[in-house]
Amino acid sequence: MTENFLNTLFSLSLTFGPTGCEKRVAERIEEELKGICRCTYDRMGNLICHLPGHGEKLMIAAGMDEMGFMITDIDDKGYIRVAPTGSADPACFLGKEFTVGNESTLTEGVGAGKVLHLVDRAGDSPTFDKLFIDVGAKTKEDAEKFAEKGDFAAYRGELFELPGDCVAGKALESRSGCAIVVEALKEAAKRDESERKDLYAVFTVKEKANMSGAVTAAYNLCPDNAILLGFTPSMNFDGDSANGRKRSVIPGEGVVLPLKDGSVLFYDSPFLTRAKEKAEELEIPFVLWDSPVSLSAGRAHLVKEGLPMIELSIPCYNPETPLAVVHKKDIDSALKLLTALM
Amino acid sequence: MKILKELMLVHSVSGREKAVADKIEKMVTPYVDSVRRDAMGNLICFKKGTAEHPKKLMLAGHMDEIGFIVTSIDDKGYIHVSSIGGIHYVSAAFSSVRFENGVMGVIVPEADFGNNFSSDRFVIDIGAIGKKETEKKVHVGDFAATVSHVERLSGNFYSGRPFDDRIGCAIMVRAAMEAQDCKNDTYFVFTTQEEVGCRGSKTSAYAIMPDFSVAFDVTGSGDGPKSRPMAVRLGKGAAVKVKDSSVICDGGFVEYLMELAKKENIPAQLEILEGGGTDTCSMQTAGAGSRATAISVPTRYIHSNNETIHKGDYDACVALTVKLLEKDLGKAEF
Amino acid sequence: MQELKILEELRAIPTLTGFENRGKKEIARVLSPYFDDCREAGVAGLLFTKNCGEKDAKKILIDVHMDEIGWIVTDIEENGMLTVSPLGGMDPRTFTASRYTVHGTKDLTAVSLKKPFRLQSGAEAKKLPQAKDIVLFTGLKKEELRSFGVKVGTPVSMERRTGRMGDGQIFGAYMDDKSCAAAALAALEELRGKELSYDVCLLLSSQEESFGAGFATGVFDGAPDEILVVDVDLGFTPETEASKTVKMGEGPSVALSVQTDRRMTKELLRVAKERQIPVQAAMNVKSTGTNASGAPFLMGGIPTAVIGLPLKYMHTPVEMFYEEDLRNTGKLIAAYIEEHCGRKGESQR
Repeated sequence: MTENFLNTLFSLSLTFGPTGCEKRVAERIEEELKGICRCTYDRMGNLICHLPGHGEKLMIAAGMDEMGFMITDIDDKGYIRVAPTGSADPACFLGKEFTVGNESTLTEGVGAGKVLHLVDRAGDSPTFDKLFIDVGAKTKEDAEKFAEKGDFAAYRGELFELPGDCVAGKALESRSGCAIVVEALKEAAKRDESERKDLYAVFTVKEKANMSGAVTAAYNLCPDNAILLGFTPSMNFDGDSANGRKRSVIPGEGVVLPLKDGSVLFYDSPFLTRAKEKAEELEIPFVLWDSPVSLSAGRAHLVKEGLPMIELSIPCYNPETPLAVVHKKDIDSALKLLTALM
Repeated sequence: MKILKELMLVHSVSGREKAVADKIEKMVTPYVDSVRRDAMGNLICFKKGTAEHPKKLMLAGHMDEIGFIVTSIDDKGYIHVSSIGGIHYVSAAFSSVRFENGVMGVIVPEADFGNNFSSDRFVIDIGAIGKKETEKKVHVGDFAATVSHVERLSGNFYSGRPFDDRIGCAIMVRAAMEAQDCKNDTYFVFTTQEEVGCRGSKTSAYAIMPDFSVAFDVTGSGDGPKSRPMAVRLGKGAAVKVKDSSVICDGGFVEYLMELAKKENIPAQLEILEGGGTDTCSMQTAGAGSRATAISVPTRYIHSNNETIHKGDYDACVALTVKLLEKDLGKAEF
Repeated sequence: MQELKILEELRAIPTLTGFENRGKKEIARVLSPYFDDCREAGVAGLLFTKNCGEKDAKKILIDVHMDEIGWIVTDIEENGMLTVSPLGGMDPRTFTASRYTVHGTKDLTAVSLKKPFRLQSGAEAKKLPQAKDIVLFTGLKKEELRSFGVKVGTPVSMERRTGRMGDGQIFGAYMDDKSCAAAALAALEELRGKELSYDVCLLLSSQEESFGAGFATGVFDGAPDEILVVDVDLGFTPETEASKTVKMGEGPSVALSVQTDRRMTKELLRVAKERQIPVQAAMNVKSTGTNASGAPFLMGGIPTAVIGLPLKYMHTPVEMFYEEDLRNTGKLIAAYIEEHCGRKGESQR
């Protein structure tokens, strides 16, 4: 992984972009791709980057949004109530740091709830209506300087490297996909037009709310094939430690080529066979696996007359939390394979 | 195993430890300088240290075992009991029990007990045919325990009861016998009433106010069928306690013992027991406190009729204790 | 702000409950300059003394616990995952995807891993993860972890980040109870140059968060005549009951409880009023939930009062308090000591 690529990954991941408020991320990507692609937005806010080439029209889709929350109320003391915009874990809220705001203003806050000492049923997961965000405000007006009802919150925190080539931080399960596509486009742009496919990279909004822009983009662009960027949760710690942990994909063992996910079968597609052969030819480590996650982008395979697609999936611990963990090797593998397929 | 077996076969429910105390006193007296008993019935054996400025080292193993006390006798002659200590009711059901006076009986759950295992749903049948007959042999306030026994399984595994904690007592007895030179002022304290709340060790520790203290007891293991995860394994040596549910042991002392074991080639392992307490906490908090830990014997099925241990671990505990006694703790830096 | 600087220095030193010995030297280094004497006391405690200059003077002891909650490693799995058990009252609502430091021979960053929410069954998702449901991931292999001294019994602490929020609020892990140590030092600064007839002791006690071995043994060692336990107090926020909490930003609390000494408590409130230090009563009728719970049994009983620093989100990585409350806590301690342990106070007894 080059220093530049790592910087891109970090900067994209740190950008505030919860579901429904992805503008900052889109702008970061546009900046990265300045002078490389023609970037446009569709009516839904998806960022579409076109790098013209020859032959096959290939669509590449990656979700920009991170797990987010919408502000539902701000009380007199300035405490902020939120509701998740996707399948956020209420067990992953208290004691976490948050960024609260909108397209123009941001502030810091912490996730909070009833203090442990006063909780009656300590084993039960709290519900979001019992949790709130404290931005250090004393009054409602204090808090409203930064955000109002309908604005957003997302996990906050720095990114850092762990030993063994792992990277940990927020939004990595989706932004590593964005970073890979950005980097692959930069690579493809170096080639002659005749040596690459006609490439449409779609950075989609609201992926985590199951409203992927890949569907609308597929409708508008009518590509021949599509590649989705996604993640596969790794759980080689799940189960009973005394009597054996479960099998799982393990970060560092290669990019996952899912045979299917919750909404789409990939194994019947000749495109998957091609991708597999390419990976074998270039000796890129990969793992065939059933992805337990349904990417909403998968629905694009049913658009119009149907769209053959594959998914490049990154094994990931703790997806959709402030501390997702991915392995640099897997990101490199995905980048290599994506570049080759372009 | 001879000493251990001999100690195991004596009846000694919490609060009625005299018989075991007598036996231990006989065994230990030739090897120590003085022996006394305190108000709680603790047996305190003292050996003067040979170091120039000996530190006070307290060793504690409890003499009591879990059991039952007779609360009433019904018209049919069945004996109703209350439990003493944490009875393992699944194991106790339909076991043979012995009263202090030698009377034998069977402890049985009432027919409709379902999953409600508690002492008031258990009765003891001594084969009597009516209240009068029963009362000739057993009285309210008498103590009973499931029958003690010990058998060898395959290899070096032994099963029986009560290893908890006659094995701790046996380790201390053997250490007193085997130590060539006790450097510290060593108090071998055989404590009472541990199973009902570490009571004996509280008073004895206050009287002694040790600088260093070590408890000897059984601990769980992570290698039983369906046992909860735990790093301790039978056959892997003496377990040096880091933490249980009543104490966090002195980190330096734990480290010291592990180093000592390594140097002397005695197998040892670190222990965290997530459910269960020991005399360690009483000794740690006596007076201005002492640097405390415990040396434990990994045991499967604790408090059942068939507690299971590995002889190698027992021997390792003795070896480690002997080496500890021979070290001048005043000079140890930890 | 001198006390905030000290707070940061203290917070940077890991003193996990039961593992205080590891950080004791460092703590002593930070605090010794403010006292005449520093010695070990009780189980893993530190006793600092500021002498009043008189022989056989009486002693007032300020108790602040130095221990912190965290994890203890229970095993290292073949794939390098660490299984853990809680040290003290860890909040299971913080077990998911948190950052920790494993204190081997070198400090190692670790991330807690849990089954992803979207893959949990309905029943699973309704329950909070227990310690057994998570593992800590460092990225290191089993042998590497061993080489860094990680083993059964290695302590693990929460991330020690800190920050400021709004006007005058500070957040971060382990404000409980190190913020109170800072308040005690602020008090000593206030008392500088004042003539006292009591020796003032500061006991940094161990194991308050676990088995309490530090307070009783430390007090036994110090043998004081009066004790002021200074600990954080539950602050009022949404979802909590006003009756069980104290208000944020409105000064320290004084516990009204059967466990505390009525004379001392009343005097604390009176002194605060007289000197216009904001103060509030904490109604901890049966128990203060602090070290003071053990005080009535100590050495024939030692009069004890409890001063609380209002703190939100206790036992999370984002414990939060008002700077102003910390300062006023220091002032209240100082005012009490000046009034009752000063030359003038002597005649009032």
